[in-house]
Amino acid sequence: MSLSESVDGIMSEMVALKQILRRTAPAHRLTDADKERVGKALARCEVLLKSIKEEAGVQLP
Amino acid sequence: MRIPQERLEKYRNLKREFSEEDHVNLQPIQRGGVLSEEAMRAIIEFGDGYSTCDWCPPKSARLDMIEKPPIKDFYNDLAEFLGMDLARVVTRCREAKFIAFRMLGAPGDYVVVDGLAHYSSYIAAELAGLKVKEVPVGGPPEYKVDLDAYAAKIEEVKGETGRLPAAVLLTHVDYQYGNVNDAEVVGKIARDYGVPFILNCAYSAGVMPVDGKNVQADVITGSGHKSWAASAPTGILALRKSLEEKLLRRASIQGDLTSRSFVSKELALLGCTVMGAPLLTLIASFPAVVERIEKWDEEVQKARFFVGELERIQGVKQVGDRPKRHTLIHFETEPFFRVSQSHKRKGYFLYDELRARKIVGIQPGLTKHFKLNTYGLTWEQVRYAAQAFLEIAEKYGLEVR
Repeated sequence: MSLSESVDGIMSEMVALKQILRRTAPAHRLTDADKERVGKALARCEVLLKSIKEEAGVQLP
Repeated sequence: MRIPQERLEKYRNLKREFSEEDHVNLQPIQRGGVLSEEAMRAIIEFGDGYSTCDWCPPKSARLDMIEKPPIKDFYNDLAEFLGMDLARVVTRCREAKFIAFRMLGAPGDYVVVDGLAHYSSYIAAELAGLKVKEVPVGGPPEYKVDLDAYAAKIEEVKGETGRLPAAVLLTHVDYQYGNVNDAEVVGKIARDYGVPFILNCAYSAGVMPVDGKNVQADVITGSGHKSWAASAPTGILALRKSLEEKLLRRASIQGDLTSRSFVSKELALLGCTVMGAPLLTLIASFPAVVERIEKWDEEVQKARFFVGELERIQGVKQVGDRPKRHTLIHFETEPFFRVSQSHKRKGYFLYDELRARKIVGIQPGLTKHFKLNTYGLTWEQVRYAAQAFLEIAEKYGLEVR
């Protein structure tokens, strides 16, 4: 996966999370379905972050 | 001139004070424009200047001819969705009205408008060189437009000028009370007189079902940022095929030295219109909009629930159509005004109290009457906002039934 695809993927997941925050404002009491979606987003982001680190050849400080 | 760095700082990292992620926003003109998930993604993808124009066809270089992204298809689907034959996206609803007025009328002509028309309807008429003849609005508490009076007003114009008005315009849902007008009544009158009927759907199309064919509209104008989950500026101009030659007439000008001409360009649109991210948000939200209008009844139920809750505060009353048929609600709130008279923050106390509860959108300083909109809020958010008003009322000793 290219660097730009990985970055786009993470942004896309964050957009999905923003929608959940909007629906649940201001208290953000997440339903089970919301929690499941957040979990999926985070799992995908972890994979994408790993891919970015590898593709860009960076080490975290 | 070089601008000092410190002056430029404020332009960096722009943030909205009231994020939709952290607040319940009741702002009357903002609810229908809250972006869909797909529209948010489209902004990121198509934020760059002319990025929508990568595949502009060289032989017919026009926004509505672009197939990638599917702008051409969208225009066709948009027209069909509204029960019209053709559609164009322009910068704002007011621009769509101006185009219709300008292309249908001649300077000095009249346009008949409802007395609750938005100010931009008047300004659009003025810029087009038209005069307005207003259809009267009934008094409190419903403030209904006298739709049958359109016929009398057309007659009045005819008597005064010897010719028919250039058009009649009806504001489908007005900005003041959120009243839903029966467009069919005006459509029939306009048809009987042979006068083009413009239906301003800024507050209706995109949030509730609108069928231009059923109501015999010749032109429908709409607002993407108000009611189609799109960024500003986006307006909609939809029309009957029979008006295509008038409204979408091509440019005929020719350079006197170069003989250059621009025959593919639509004159009143000044060529291409919204060629950027706002258009793409409108397109990206379209599937969500098509889906959401099916849930309009539930949105109205939420508005009615909200009215019922706030009217538990003795002296608070909703004005306009009863029961509500739209989510834009106008309240008279005399009890909150009484509180403001002795409060150190005066009229701002209500705004402060709501803001402390992360509720925004009521105009700061207003307590005697205000407007709000519940469109698109979840039931939980509607209950939360209603409860907040009741709590504030009780806190200041108002009677809550």
